[in-house]
Amino acid sequence: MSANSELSPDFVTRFANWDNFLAVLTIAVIAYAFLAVPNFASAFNISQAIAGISERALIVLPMVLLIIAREIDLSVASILALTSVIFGLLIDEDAPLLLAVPITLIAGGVCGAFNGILVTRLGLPSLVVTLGTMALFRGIAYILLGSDSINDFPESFLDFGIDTLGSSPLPLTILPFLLLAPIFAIALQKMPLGRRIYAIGGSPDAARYSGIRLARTVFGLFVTSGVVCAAAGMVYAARLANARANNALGIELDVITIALLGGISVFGGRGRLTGVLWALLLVATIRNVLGLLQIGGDAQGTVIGLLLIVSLLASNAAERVFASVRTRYFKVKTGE
Amino acid sequence: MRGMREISSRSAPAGATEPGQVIGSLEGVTKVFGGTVAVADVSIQLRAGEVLALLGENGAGKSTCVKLLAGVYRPDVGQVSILREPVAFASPLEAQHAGVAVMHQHPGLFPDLSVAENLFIGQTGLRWNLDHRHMHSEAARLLRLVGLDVEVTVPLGRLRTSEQQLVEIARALSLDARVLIMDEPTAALSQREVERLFSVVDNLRTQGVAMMFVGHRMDEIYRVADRIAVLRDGRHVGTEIAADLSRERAVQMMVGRALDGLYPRNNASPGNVVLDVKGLSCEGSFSDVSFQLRAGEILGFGGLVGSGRTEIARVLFGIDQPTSGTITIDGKAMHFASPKDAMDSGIAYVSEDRIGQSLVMDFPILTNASLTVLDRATRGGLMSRERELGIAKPFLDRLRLRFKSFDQPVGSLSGGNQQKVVLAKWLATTPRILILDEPTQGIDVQTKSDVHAMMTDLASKGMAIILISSELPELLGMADRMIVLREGVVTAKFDRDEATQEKVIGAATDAIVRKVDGEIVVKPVVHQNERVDVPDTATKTTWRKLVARRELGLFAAIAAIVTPISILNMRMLSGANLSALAMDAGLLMIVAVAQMLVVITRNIDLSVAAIIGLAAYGAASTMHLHPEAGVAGGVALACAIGFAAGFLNGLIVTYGRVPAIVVTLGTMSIFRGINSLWAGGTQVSADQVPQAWLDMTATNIIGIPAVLLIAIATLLIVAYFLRKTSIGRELFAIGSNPAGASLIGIPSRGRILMAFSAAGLLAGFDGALWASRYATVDARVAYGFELTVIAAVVVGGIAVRGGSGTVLGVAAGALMLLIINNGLTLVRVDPLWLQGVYGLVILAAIGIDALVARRAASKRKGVR
Amino acid sequence: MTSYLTKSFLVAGSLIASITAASAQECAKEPVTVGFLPKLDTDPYFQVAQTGAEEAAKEIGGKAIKQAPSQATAEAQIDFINNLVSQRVGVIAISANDANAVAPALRRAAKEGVKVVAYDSDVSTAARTVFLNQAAGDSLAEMMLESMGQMINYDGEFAILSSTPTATNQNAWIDFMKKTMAGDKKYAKMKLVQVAYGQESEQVNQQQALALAQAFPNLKGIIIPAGIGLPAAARAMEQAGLLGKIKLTGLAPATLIKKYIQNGSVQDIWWNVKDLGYLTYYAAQAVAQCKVNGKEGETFEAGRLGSYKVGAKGEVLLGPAKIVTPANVEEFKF
Repeated sequence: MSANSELSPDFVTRFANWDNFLAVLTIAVIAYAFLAVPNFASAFNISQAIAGISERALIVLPMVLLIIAREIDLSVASILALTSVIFGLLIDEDAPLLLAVPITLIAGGVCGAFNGILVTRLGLPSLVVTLGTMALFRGIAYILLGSDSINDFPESFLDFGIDTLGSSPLPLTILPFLLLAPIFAIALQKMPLGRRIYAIGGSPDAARYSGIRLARTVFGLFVTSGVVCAAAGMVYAARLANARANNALGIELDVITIALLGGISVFGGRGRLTGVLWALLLVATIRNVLGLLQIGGDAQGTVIGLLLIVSLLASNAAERVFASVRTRYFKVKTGE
Repeated sequence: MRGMREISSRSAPAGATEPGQVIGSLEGVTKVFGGTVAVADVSIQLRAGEVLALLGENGAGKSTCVKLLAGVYRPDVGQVSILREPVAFASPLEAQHAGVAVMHQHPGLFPDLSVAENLFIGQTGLRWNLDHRHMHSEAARLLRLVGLDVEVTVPLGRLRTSEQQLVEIARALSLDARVLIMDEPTAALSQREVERLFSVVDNLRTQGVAMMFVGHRMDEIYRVADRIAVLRDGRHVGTEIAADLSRERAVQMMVGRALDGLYPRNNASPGNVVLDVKGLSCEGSFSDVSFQLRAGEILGFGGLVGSGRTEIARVLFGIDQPTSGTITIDGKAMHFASPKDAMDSGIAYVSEDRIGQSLVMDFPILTNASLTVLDRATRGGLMSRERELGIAKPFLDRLRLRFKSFDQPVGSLSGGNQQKVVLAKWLATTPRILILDEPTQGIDVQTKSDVHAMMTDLASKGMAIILISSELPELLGMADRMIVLREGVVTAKFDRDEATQEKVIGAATDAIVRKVDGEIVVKPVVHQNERVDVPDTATKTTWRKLVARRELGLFAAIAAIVTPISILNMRMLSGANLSALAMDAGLLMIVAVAQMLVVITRNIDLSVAAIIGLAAYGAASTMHLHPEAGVAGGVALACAIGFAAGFLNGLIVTYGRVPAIVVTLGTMSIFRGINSLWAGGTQVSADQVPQAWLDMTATNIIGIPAVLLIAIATLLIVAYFLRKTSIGRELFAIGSNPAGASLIGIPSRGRILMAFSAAGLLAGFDGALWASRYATVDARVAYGFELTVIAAVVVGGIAVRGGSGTVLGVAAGALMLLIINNGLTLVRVDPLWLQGVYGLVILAAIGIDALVARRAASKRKGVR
Repeated sequence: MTSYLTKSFLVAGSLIASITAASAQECAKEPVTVGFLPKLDTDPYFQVAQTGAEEAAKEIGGKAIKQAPSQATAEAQIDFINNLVSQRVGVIAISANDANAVAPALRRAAKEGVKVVAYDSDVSTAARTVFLNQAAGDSLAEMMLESMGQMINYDGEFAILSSTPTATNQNAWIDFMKKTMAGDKKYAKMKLVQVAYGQESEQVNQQQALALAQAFPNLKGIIIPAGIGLPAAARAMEQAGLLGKIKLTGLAPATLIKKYIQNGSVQDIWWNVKDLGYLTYYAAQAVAQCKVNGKEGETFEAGRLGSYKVGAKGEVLLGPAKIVTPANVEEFKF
């Protein structure tokens, strides 16, 4: 019986899923941009458009894991700012990169651990906790560096922020993401850890009663988020040659928008990283294209907002249509 | 049964019927879900003064019948009739109005609302002035009727499961219905509570109420039913007079064939002691429990629900920590810090809560079945479907799981099949000690006997099993030995031969047991006497209630901030400072309370600040271009803009079914974008608007800023609305338990739409005040303000999961944030430190709040 | 996804192979498109400046386009710099949110053959050809201090309500004011008691202005060197009945606070914003045609404003800013 059902292809669910929808949409937008938008298809444009999402791309990775596990981290941008400031101060004190980089990563981990402890030990909702630490971490950055900025970094570090990979248009700043994305994708989609994260999001109680160490896993996710934000903080510092307390102000909402557009359910337990990667590409392309068409920032925001709502509305409508198609399909089968 | 006529808008139904008259009926109904036929051509009749028991395996269509009668579903073919009149209920509420009351299997109750409110919510009709005092006295009367003794003002969530079930029963009784449907109401009840329910049923019988009882326990069915209707595979097999239908015949009708010997005997000879528990105690749950468990043995745990059986299992499984005592496995003392530790020692625990604790409903069967053995189902560190199948399939096959595909979501299976997946998931861990907590609760007869067979099979292979069951025959039939608990203490130990129903019930309760017609029943207790052990409610004075209020803590915190600041700088309390503070507080409070309306329904509105901005610009530019519109025109326009924006949010959330956080994240950008296109880079300044517009917020009335008065008036209106109107209470109910809300017929969509619209309206109104107060208005008004608003709501104690919170709390939260900001500047703290301190205070506020709540909860638990 | 990206690069690479990037040395023969990149989208100040640029474009040809982010951050501006480069504008005219942070992106733009000028708010000197300054930075600071001095008779406590702690211009002005006060005997009796921040929000500005009044009972004045802050604070003081008691001065569009200026309780330092855009456009075209390379002493014509000379560090001064008083407030259209 089961062997038989293994073969019965539920073609509707297989092809009409969110990932594919986003993929088609993204490819369509890119194709349109290539053909119809002047100056889109230049190495410079594409290279810089990619560089421009370096930090968001990094941060969205742990954010996806957190949202799947029914948590959220609003403090990402603040951790980014704080760690970039810490990094800047270390460089300012003439610490070698080999020392400054790991210390900064640890600092990010400590920020994440602070979030994690408040969430897991005190049992506070992460939305509330990270709303508080969002103010706190940036506040600490202001206390550390005040109104100054640090702009003197070692040449090798600045080169990393500006250069591209060999003669290709691929900016070096996207490399950390390209390195981490497969690791996150495999961890989430292919490893027991990923299953645990989905289970925690799907039903925290059932996960706990199945021997999954809930608190430890969630804590680990927050620490991961902190460390990745620290990495993003350094990427940011390299790209802008700037360490400052107001760095990356407000990008947490961008990151969350990308995750949600990517099909991650805010109720946890659902969504895939591949969808998010498509969403990332889609948002970056749309912003770039709108910019090339001389549409300003506020209007761009409106378009992204519309995209988010309309696409989710469409997906809900489509789901209902598919559901009825599927029932009809099974009805025919049972009728046989 | 004097009803709630005073607070119920429905006309009196009961009383006008003759015994035996058909009151409610299903006539040839068929209901199809997607491709599945749930019931086909079913006809049953409910007669006045009679109890009809509905019998059938899981998935036989019992719940569908209940829901058809209750107005949750409408039949595809056939009809539902009340008093021979065909009816088409559009909602559970309409059914209720027609006199149909339902006790649901999983109570449709609201943990955040008080016990009294749970009884009456959704059935008062539209009320603009709820009489809470009258509700309390009525509630107390109803609870006495079902023998539940709790204070009617405590939140329902503080009650135990069985107590909550009694509230559900009382709720159905309060409807004073002519048709009463009981859908497995006894599953969570103790014997005594069941008996109490049945005596109420007997009473209703004499009053001519037509009743339907759905249950799995034969003893109860034969105790209460006059007639028995049997369903099988969605079809009506027959209806018989209970007295004429033998049990064997009834079971045969249900499963379609005779079942062989109900309980298989475990003949394995016990081996070595595997588990040795000595003097185990857990404060508040049980104390000094000792027992031994041998390999190949089935040890039964008897006792009432809440007697400590499940709690012992939880400690053995590492979920709770014991306060004293030892757990020894194979002669080695163990300490389990988590379920993982217990699993590593070979313990498996099948929880009593299948839906909540055992399965992830959205997950496919295979994923659920391999959840406990993830690390073994890998190849080279990656999940391997082959390995997963290799581990899970043998167990699923052995349990004869009926399913379409391993990728089918487990939520689409029937209860019995779900339980098989749970068992497979635990057997996959190859445990040596298996704890089964109510393993056959709510599953059909066939699966039940499968489970029993499996138990003896496992025992014969040397597994040690602990069986916790509320079903006495099962316990007596399956257990080799048993211990019986009462209120957390072991009161008896029996071997298989000495255990009888009387002895077990005697040990489990302090009631006197008698035998009636071959059935064990608890002697009816004279209920009036129970009042003796009631804690004196009068001693809980208003003062103590006040101290227990959460808001007091906030105001204490505010005082704790204000006092030192005022000492450092007396001008903190100066009129000028206070009035400036009051104006800002007024603006923040209005929008915070708007946010609260949305948050209590378990939603969130990230676009409030954008709505303020849009409304403010709209009002200000209109005042500039058309000063003749007048102040009232400007305010009205702002309100209209806000209302439209909120309505749009609500529409997408409710009818588009997109989560609120996603919708409002999107509309936030959209509203901002519209605002910026509208403004097109222009600014409205103080010079460009009429003076009257500016005076709206600048004037003082008896020395108090007008803004504050406007805010207080708004808050009072909202507070009145939330506390005293039925709609207000329903908003809390929706947030507290969305599924329950729709079950009892609260139009959730409409209400949530209303909450969003109202929030938009308030934000728009706030926008008008904002434009007047700050005078200079451009496209970026209130940019980023949403986070302050949410912070105020959160600090004010509104749970982000919905269902609870007060206007006073929100007001205090808003005040607190502003005072911190203001105070830090007044005592000349370096402005660079502002943000950090601000974040710290938010964290401190919610942290302290959580600690206090936790202490209150544990204190409460200790008392129980 | 990565493989997809790689593929798209290959396609992109082949497409642009034929296009050769214009070198930085190349000089335009005709008027070019000038991409204005203000700090913030739809900000009234830059909107007005843009009208000046458009006026200039009508006079000498070419095009003035404007694009800006919805958030006033350097990071958001970088995306727009790149975007303008991709659109192949001739010159980018930027008002930087952060002088240093946008510099790498601007240097990259220069490599792609796009010239850069700064207006309103400078970037690091190496990253642009010229800076069109509304007034010498020091002079603005000095004028604000002078204006405050005049209003409080060079005696007593005053505070500064800046925009954000990281605002480059404001921080430079504040530093200069502190230095001036330390060095100039004229200000010996004046005391700067606090630097607070209004975070570019009407609300916070009002809250902070009022709180400063309470925190420092002897406070005589507040300098508010930030666009939205001065009208917001003036409005707050008016409502609190402190207007006149605490004097305000700073930078703000004169029209927004006309009535407070007229009654003497507020002063303002302001300049002709439209002319700034006008001048910037002319300078940008001159830079595009290599008539100006940022060297001290170079001159160029700017239509109705006449001839301008490049000063030290490539700065071009629009002309002295004015202290706006009841006497001259009508001169300002913005």
